Amino acid sequence: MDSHGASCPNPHCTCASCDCRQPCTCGLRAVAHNEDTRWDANDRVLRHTVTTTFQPDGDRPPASTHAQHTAAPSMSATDDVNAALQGGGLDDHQLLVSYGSTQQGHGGHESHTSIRNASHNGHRIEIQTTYRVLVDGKELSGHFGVDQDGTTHYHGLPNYQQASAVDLVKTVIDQFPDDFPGSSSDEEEG
Amino acid sequence: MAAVRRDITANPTDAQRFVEAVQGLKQTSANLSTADLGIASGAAGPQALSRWDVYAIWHFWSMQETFSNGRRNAAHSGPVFLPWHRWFLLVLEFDMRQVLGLGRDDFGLPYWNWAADGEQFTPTQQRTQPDVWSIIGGNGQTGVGDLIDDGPFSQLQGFQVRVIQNGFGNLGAVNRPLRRNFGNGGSRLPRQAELDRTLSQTVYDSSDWDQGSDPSLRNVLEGWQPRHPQSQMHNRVHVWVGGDMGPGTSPNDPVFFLNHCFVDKIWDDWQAANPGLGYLPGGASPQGDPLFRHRARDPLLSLLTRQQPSVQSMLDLSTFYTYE
Repeated sequence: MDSHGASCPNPHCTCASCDCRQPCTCGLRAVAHNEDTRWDANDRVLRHTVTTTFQPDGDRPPASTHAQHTAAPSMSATDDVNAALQGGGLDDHQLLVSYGSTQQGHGGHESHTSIRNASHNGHRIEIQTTYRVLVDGKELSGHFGVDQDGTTHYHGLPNYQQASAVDLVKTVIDQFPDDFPGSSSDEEEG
Repeated sequence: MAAVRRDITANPTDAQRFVEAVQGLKQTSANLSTADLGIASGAAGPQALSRWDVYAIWHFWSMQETFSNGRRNAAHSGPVFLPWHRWFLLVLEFDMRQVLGLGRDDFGLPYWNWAADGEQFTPTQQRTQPDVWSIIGGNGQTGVGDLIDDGPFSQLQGFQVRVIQNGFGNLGAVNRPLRRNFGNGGSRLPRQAELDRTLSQTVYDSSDWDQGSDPSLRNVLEGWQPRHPQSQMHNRVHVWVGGDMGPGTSPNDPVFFLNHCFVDKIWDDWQAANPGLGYLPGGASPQGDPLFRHRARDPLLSLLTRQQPSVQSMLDLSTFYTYE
């Protein structure tokens, strides 16, 4: 689990050491954020400049785990996309590792409620749909959702879209034979 | 000067370099294991990851950062779909040059023109006839789990998948050959007329900036468009190839990049034909904005580089590569 707390004053923390998009505990508050991307014809590089100005939050001292915020290149210095591509970043998987730890912490599988809105004869319609799908008693934790037109989708099969949630779950079973081994006693049900 | 990206079937040198680069990245350690990333081991045990494997993980995690109750994520089902994948391909292209030992203008990622194959061949012929399969290997073998047993990315060549998204939606470590299941679900490849309709879109994207956006170049090209189910474009290709192209770890299959390079070319063609039609939505997301990661000045979710370039920095990369 990452070190972020729920009451941090800097919810837009994008530090390279965590990048979890969660509130951090650095004790700093972003007061200005500017970005600029342009081609540097002299050095033949695409320069992306991100400048974020922080001020200490009066009630909370900076946490030592995020003391690098003020010095991290991605927060306060010129970001050089070309330099990153040409080797500086590609062999460095720190961000991947720290992102992985946040994925574990978040789980990534909180339930999602799809909300569809419409109006009819002057009345406002809101339909909230939350799916909980079990196969052989085990929950499919990737998110199921329903689009505005009623078609369903599943994050576990991100390129699929089907009119029926039942058909979609059948597709999931078919597409993942290792997780749902076939049975000769299968019976089709409604 | 800039690298040139060409049809993989039109230039043998490009094709050979692509294959060598994939194999090279697959054989190069990322100095990481699935355990380092908190990925469940399963029966296969923890797996050492290569520089190829980490792209599948980056892609999968981009889908876990969701917005608007899952209507869009950091790379899909919204306006950023095209810029995010442009960046994804650019990083891989640089990584490939590094492993090939080539300069920045000496290798361009090739693409697969699936619309040409969809037009030329019947659905049955599409499984065997297109030249691309003679370069990257063909369909998986029915009856043995759709495992690929020919071409440069087969088990015989040592190409083993190390991490997948399973049916329950989680990452897991595996050690098995690549899977394909052409014509999965009775589908076919997109056709030229559908590509033409895609290019005729008159706006980049529109509210509600999701799978229901219409009109929207992005949505037609990504392949949602429920009003036009026959024109699923990018999504249709994923579904048609099947196997490992289905789940969120689809970059495991090299054909993922050939597909997305053609998608990027289509966007590039559309941009050239419509210089007055810019990226939408503009601006930067304020705190808590449900369109975070999708506005022009938002940062892309980039997990293999230290910096997160902006969405708008992807709109013109003509100094890095051009299409032929």
